[in-house]
Amino acid sequence: MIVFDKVTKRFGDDTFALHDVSFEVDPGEFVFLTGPSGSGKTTVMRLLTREYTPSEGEITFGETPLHELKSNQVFQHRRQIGVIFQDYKLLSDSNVWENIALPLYIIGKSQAEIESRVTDLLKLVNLVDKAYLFPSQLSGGEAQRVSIARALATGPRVIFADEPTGNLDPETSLSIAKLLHKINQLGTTVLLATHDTGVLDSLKSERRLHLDKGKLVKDSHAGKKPKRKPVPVKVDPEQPDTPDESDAKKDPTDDHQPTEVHVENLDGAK
Amino acid sequence: MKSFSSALVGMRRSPYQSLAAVIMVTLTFFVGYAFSLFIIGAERILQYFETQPQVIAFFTLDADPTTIETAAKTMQSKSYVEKVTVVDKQKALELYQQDNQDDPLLLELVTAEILPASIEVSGKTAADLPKIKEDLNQISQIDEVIFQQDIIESLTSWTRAVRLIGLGSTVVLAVSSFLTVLVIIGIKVTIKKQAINIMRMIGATRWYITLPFFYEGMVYGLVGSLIGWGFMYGLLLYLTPWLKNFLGSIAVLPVPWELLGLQLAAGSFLGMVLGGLTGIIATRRLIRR
Repeated sequence: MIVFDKVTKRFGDDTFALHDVSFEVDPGEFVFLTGPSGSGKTTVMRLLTREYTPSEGEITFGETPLHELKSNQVFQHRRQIGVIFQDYKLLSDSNVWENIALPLYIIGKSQAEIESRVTDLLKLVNLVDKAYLFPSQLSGGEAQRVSIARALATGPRVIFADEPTGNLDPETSLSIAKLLHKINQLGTTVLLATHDTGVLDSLKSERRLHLDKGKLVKDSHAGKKPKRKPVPVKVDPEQPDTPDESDAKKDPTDDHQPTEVHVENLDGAK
Repeated sequence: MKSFSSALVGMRRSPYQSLAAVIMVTLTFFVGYAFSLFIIGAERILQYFETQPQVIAFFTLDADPTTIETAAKTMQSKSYVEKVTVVDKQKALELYQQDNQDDPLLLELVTAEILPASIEVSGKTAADLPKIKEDLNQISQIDEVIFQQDIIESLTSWTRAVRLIGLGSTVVLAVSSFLTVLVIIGIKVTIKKQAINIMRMIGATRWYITLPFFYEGMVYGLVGSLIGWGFMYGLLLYLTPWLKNFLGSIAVLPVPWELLGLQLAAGSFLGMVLGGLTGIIATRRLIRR
């Protein structure tokens, strides 16, 4: 699904953000991008969303080589990737509901569909009672859950979370990691860039790509087959992922009975 | 509709900037509308003078009627002549009596024999008058040719000057308005730059981002046009009694409703197009950076 083939990103003549990085991510995979600050994790995200173009090498998303995308096609590509940021990047003058609805307005969904989807997503991230609060009135964990709901709104093929727990306390960080893992179990490919050891320890079995000084130094699953096939994205409004203590202690791979968030994915859910 | 309400919210949240934009656009349209009416009025006045007998040729006292009739026919055949009126001696006396009916002494002293016959010629435009004068001078038995060359020339040059001043002022104000709206919308786009970056990151098209600013520019154009027209109309109503008295028999007032309506519709359309365009330019300029 995602292929980085000998990708180098250079700023100026001799400043390398990424150097000769190659990896593949299969549909439905959960992949950690680890490494210290400045190792190139965010550059990977920016290359994937075509915010940057590689200095050398080629990136393929799905069947599409990104260098072949014209500038007026980039927005369509970005709609397939849900991005979650460390600093949430919520619109400060819009409330929770409006922030989650924004991608749906952008892709031109009907008001009824938007209301239905936003309601489901609010249940998924357990923020139904905070729908009309503004970002400044939310805690860090709540703001990040809004960011996750917004990233999920259009049913993207991939979620890229760039240090989503960087501003959160350990307990909330674990709940966010669990939420992302649950989203992955429902079928969405997730790339989680982090150097949070608590988060990494909670999901030890997942694949890790370790970057250092712009180079890929370790792939924990090198040569292994992906463990999951993609399944449709589902959410379970009846069992919201609550970032409370009991939740943080549960096995993150615990399953549940999901219901739809995307109309087209009603059937066939795991 | 979401974009339109976003535009209105944006305007409401920065009232002083919006007010500055509306005032500037209003001033532009007020001047534009006022000058356009002034120019239309001046054209009408010029037309009025052009349709009056403009060149009068007086024959010698012994000129025979056949010569006068031939001269009239010759002038009527010219392509640039609108109308020819013959005033024979008897009619000249009637006009004289009519003009001096309050002075019986003058009426007793004057007879048809001492009044010259004349022909009055109207040109199609003021520019034709020198040619008509030249033609009349070449006709035999014509004693004197007079025409209100100074008045017509002066009116023509005034009309041209007013047109140039009006056009110049309107263009200068329109450019100022364009730049004012461009700067104001530019500031708003800069303030929302982070939100715009987020929207682009989650797949918004350029048009989706531009649309609220496009609507905002259109609203400035429309509101400015409506208020500017309102001020102009108020001024017109206020000045109408004085203008009617000043213009006398020249029928320029009242200005027809159709003309005012057309002026408002054309101005508002232009305001919306220019305003919208300004919004697009301001947004695209900053999105590109």
